Amino acid sequence: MEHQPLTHSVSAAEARPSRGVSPTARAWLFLSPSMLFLGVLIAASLLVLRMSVGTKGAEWSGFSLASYAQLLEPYYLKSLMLTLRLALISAVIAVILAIPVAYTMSRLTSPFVRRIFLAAVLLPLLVNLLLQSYGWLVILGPGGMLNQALMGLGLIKRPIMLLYNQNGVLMGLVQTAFPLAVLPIASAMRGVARSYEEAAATLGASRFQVFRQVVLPMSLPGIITGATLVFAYNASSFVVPLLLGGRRVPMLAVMVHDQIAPLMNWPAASAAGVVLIVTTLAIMTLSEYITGRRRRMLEASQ
Amino acid sequence: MSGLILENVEKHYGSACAVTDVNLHLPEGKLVCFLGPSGCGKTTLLRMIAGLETLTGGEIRLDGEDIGNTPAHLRNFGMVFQSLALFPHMTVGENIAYPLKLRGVSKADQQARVVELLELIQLQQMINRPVAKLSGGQRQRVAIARAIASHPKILLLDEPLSALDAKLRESMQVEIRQLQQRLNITTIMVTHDQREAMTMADIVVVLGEHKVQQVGTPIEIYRHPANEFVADFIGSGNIFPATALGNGKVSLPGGDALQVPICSSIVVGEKVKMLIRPEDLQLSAPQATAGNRLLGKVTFVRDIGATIETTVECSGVSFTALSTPCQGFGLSVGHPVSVTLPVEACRVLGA
Amino acid sequence: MSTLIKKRQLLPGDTGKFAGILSGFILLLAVLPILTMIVMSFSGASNLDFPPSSYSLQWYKAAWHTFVSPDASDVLSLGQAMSTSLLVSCLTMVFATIIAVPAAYALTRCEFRGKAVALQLMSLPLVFPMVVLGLALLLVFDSLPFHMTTSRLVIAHVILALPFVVKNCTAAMLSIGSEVEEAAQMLGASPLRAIVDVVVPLMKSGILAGMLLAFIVSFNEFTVTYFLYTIDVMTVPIWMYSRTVSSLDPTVFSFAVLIVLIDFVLIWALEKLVGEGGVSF
Repeated sequence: MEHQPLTHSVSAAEARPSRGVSPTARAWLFLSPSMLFLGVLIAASLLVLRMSVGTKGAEWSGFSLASYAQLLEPYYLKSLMLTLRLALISAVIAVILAIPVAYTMSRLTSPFVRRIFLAAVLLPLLVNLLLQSYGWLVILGPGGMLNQALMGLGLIKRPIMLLYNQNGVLMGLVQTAFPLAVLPIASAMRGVARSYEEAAATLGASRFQVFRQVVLPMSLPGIITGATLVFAYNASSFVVPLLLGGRRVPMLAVMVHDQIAPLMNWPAASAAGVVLIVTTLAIMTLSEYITGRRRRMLEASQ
Repeated sequence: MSGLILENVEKHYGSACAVTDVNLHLPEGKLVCFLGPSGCGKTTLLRMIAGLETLTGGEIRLDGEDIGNTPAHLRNFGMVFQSLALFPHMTVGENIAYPLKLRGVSKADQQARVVELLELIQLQQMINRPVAKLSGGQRQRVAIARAIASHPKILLLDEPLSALDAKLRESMQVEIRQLQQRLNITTIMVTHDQREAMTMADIVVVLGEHKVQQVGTPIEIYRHPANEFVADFIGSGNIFPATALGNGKVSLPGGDALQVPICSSIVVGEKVKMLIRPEDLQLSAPQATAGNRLLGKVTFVRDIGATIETTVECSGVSFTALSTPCQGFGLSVGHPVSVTLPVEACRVLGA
Repeated sequence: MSTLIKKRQLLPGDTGKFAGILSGFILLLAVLPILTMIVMSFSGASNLDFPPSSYSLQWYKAAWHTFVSPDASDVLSLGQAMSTSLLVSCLTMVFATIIAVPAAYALTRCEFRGKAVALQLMSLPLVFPMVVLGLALLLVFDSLPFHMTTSRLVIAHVILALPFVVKNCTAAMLSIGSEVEEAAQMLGASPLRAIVDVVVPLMKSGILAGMLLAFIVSFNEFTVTYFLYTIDVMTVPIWMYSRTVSSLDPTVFSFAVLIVLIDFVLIWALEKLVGEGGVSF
């Protein structure tokens, strides 16, 4: 560690050369190990892309668009539509359920209650999907909790089939992706300063009006982010349709796996995988665009 | 040449200019204030001197040597940040000892120096206190002690008092000034508060619109502002437009003529800006306009206890006069009154 | 004479009772499957009826038995699967943190070309379809000339955990601010020394939180691991699935309770460290 006297002089120049490593190079140096791992991800995606235009039997050398053509068959199209539909519905429901929870979370004061809330919110996301699906099996089964409750309330005469069909899967999708909706919305709501609510109240708004007309619109970027995350997450959901849908709910991710085991049709699996990636990226980009504009508008007004 | 010299210093961020055309010579041992409104580039300038920003153009020399390429941690300048930036995970003593530790000073010497500094700032008991447990004023002093611990050549202060409340700020201004004089250390302080600059500085550098507007002692700047910007920023002033009539006479918007100090560079018919300080205006019982005594009407009175500010409208200009309670004579809004503008007190700006 | 009962005024910005109760109910639903499993693990019957007709600890006893020695139908015992899980998760935790801290530094402190791209890339594993990730990694690893088992899992898990750890460290670094770092430099510390002396100590809780998060994510991961496991290298989730593929027996619930307990403790510790601000997406 030297502290030399400042002795050497440099001739005055118009532009200063940057000292040492340029900031760009230094930043990328720090990022390089992470980029290495992410590079594996990208390389893997490219491999999938390549595989998707291969042919069965000559995966790397062959070239054909047969796998994509296969995806246009009604069976696969139905699966794609099903996936998108379930993902969309689950996103909407998850967001609707998330809004009150997020609002409560953002306005809580007691640290203990906050921790309980956060734990309860995080558990469905982090705990093994497998385990929760088992739990759902118990809840949704013919002798399960939901059916018993509905019969007890007199709403139905006989147990309804909730498992191994879309309804059960939908419930599972909403429950497991729920935290993905809560966290961004809570974060956005926390960003809505309390003074806005107070100002609205002084102008005569009731509590509900304040919520609907001030807090909700200002949290819109968070809501969109939440909906997008749930959509993307559920579009590629694997465990939930596998366990709760049986063979009856062929979401795209299940399709991908089926192509590999037992069908060993790598190109077809890859093609389906590519469709999944493209869908996800498209949704993310769209949402980024929408929330970006909205956020800029909010920031400009402050 | 000794001292700090800035030559043609400029800083651009892309196409936006932060500060440009800065030429300064800051002599040793003086307290220099960079004064200006927010966004004028004064903090950028300070950070360039510190080495925390690179220069887009120009040179900075200390005692003849170019320090532009020396990284910040080798310049041996002490700096106090606006947020003070005391290390929260260290105690007071550890904070102050940190620069000494980096220089390989022995533990015993470190201890001695820390004790010496704590005595200087009168916080001897606080050596093991965690930083979080200090009051605002105490933190200030620890930040300064830490900055001077390694005997830096120059002390840099970035709006150090902006986070303090008014009373504390005033006492700290005096404390810092006394400390600086005692140590005779060259100090550069950034502030937007012109009263602070007037109180503490040997030399004031007024910055505005990304340029140096004027350099001088506080009184020079107050009495002889170089242009309208400086006149407006320093102190409160009455700045009014007038048209030159030649021979040291100007005409006011309302038509009356005023005798002002002769200025050879002004041509007849030229539009100028005039300055007269509120405390130079003299109020008297209403009489007809004669010479520099104008007849006008009171439009606003503000009695702040120690002084009375009276706003008078005459000859198309609104003047604010400052008087003490014993001088004032119970004026109220609507009252006619005479205002005298002494010739020497009138200043033509930008001449 | 009437006594005035003053109700505590509900100020604008407070949580109303309605919102609170609604939220509580929704949260209850959110954790319902987990709660159900916990109850079922104490069931005395051997079917899936809810609520159980009787309660007993029989499943826990059976579970303990499998912990130490495999059943006839199992290839591995739970103990072996657990040690694999712990190994993989610990390695993931360590590696993810080591590469995340400098990455977070670069993303918060530096202005550089391509920063927006880097930020997007960091969030990529979060939204990337996990099935495709599993498939893709399988392709990559299978095409390599050498054989990797545990390391494949670690690599996959690090990729998955990276966004979480980076976001945690970024949040921690942002809250520290750059002025303490600059102050250290002005006092004579080289840029690297400033980071080590000042930034890292202040980030400790953020880093720890990131590590915990990485561990939790890795420990519970199923989908990608499902593509990459081999017969003798199984993590606990895979082990549980393989057991129940043919028939669902409630022993699995007692395992589940164990895992949920571990997860809950970890999440609690996580929150103690960073509170709400740190856990974000």
